[in-house]
Amino acid sequence: MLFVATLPRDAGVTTADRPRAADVAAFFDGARLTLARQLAGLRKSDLASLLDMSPTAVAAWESGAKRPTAVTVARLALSLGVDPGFFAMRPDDVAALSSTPHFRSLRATTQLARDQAFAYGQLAVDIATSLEKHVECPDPDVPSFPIPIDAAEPNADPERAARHARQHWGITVGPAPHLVRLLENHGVLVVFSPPQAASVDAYSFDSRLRPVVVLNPVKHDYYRQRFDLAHELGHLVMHTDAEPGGRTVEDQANRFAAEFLMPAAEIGDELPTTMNAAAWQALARAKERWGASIQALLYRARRLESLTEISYRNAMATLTSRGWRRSEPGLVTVLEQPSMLPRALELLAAEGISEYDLRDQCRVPAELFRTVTARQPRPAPPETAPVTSLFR
Amino acid sequence: MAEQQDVIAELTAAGVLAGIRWAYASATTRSMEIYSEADGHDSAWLGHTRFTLFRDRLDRVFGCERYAVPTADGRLDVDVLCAELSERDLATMPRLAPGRVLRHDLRGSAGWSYRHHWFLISSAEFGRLETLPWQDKSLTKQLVAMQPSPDLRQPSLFEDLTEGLLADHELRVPTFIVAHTLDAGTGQTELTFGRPKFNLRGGPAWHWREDLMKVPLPVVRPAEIPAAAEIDDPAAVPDAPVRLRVIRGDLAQGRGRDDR
Repeated sequence: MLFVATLPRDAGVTTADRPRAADVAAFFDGARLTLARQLAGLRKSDLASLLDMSPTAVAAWESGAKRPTAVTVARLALSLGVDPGFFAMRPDDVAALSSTPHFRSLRATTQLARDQAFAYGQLAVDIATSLEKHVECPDPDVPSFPIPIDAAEPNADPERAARHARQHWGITVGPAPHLVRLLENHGVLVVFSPPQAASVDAYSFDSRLRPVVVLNPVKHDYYRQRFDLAHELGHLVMHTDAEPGGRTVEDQANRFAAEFLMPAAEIGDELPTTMNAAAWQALARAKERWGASIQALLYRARRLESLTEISYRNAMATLTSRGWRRSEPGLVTVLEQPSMLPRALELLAAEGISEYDLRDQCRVPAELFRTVTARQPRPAPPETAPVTSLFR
Repeated sequence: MAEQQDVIAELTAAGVLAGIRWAYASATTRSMEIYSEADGHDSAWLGHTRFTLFRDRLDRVFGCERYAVPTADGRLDVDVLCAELSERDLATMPRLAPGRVLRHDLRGSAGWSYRHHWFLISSAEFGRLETLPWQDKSLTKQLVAMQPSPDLRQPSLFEDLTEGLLADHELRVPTFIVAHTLDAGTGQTELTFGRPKFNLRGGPAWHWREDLMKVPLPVVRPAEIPAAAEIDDPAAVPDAPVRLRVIRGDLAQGRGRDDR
């Protein structure tokens, strides 16, 4: 017989006993203001304008050099669209205890968008921390295989790291299974990012709690999402200490993903050596067998020198002319979905602990809480807009 | 755009647009296949090769010039027609009866005609089709671009000029342009068919145009994909093993229950 904790029905903080701005002012945490501002997609100067204050004042509150008054805390909460309790001190500063995230295409996204994305990742960790007081999730078990960030370095062998990871997780032969579940079962938190952050590709970071992978919500491509997951796994395995964003780092993560999903020792015979009608059929078969896109398979064929550069270019031109660069045909149309936080919510709901109680405990607005804990990405907005607040 | 609808409908029904689409896909694919910067090729080489192969492929698909010569039994020499084409080209080449589209050059510019419609081909810079600067093109293309559009009641200021320069010429037959681009870096292509509009200072280069990249090629589809996928069905994989937290005796606040 084992005992489990259940929160009493009245364990959730009610409106009456929610911290007031005056109370929060006493326990104000500058890092929480930074987090809220970044989630709202604002620069310090933007927030200062909203409050009719100077950017220096905002900087001082965030750094902890100055403490805002109760009135200012109330105005901050109103301007950013959060409960004043959001700014209250937490046992841990998630940002300070997390590694710098690995974002792809640094040039394609603005600093503001990246800050917002990372803030979202930290919020996900914050929510997971809160839920994990009541549920147990798989312990983190991501193998570490650091790789030198120097393409010329002979030990810079991402393929070896990928083989090590497969072996560590017992994938001895054949295609990698459901990647989201594989990562979750080894303690990685996987969440979809909100639709407002669709411009930022998948990214990953390590946190005090567990490693985190944040998926892009609008790709809607099972095969490309698997490559994204394997790419981010590559960062977690190889680059926890590496400076993110460099081309070498990204190339290494791509090579890791290719070997993890399509091991050279096994896939060689299935890759085309010349491009003709039969080759396209072989690629379509390999796509379904390995769960990798035709583009990834073609690149693999080029990399393993099964295809010549000319044939590869020829094939990519054909792929473009068919409109497959954006949307390839494939049999699997359902995305792999995260389960760790949604399952936790379901278990707690069965024990009578409502989403409202849990949300209140985290002090996170409802929409954002639901996005972090959802199995599916939230519906995308009609157009890709510049950075907009995640609180709205 | 009544003319656009009529012309496109007629050329589509006759298979002419599919022929142009195929010819360009074949020409650009082959161009990119043999293009090699390492071998000293440059954009000028690529542009010339692309034009030469496009012209060749148009002649093939329409059965013009050297591909129009029948054998003794009156049939087209298939060996000549298919020489150097890839398997994909052969698998996707539209079959048009020779003689439907005729080779009909205009003042040295390669051109083809189908019934009362003519078209010439013109290269353009990738991404700049909409404002293709006709003044930088040959005089023939400029004159074609100066033709009045039948959809416009307002006469063109250039009408008299075309009349004078081409007094005895066939430009009385509506002549259209097939404009084509290729990005050497990415292999991306654009192909359009339309009535050009003479433009100065970067104005619109077309009275109307139709994007031929939308014309479907007979694709060698992966219809024969075996349904037996080896990867997991994403919807059938169990959730991660999450369970309610077990609290040690002295911390337990709740009721006892079996571990899940």
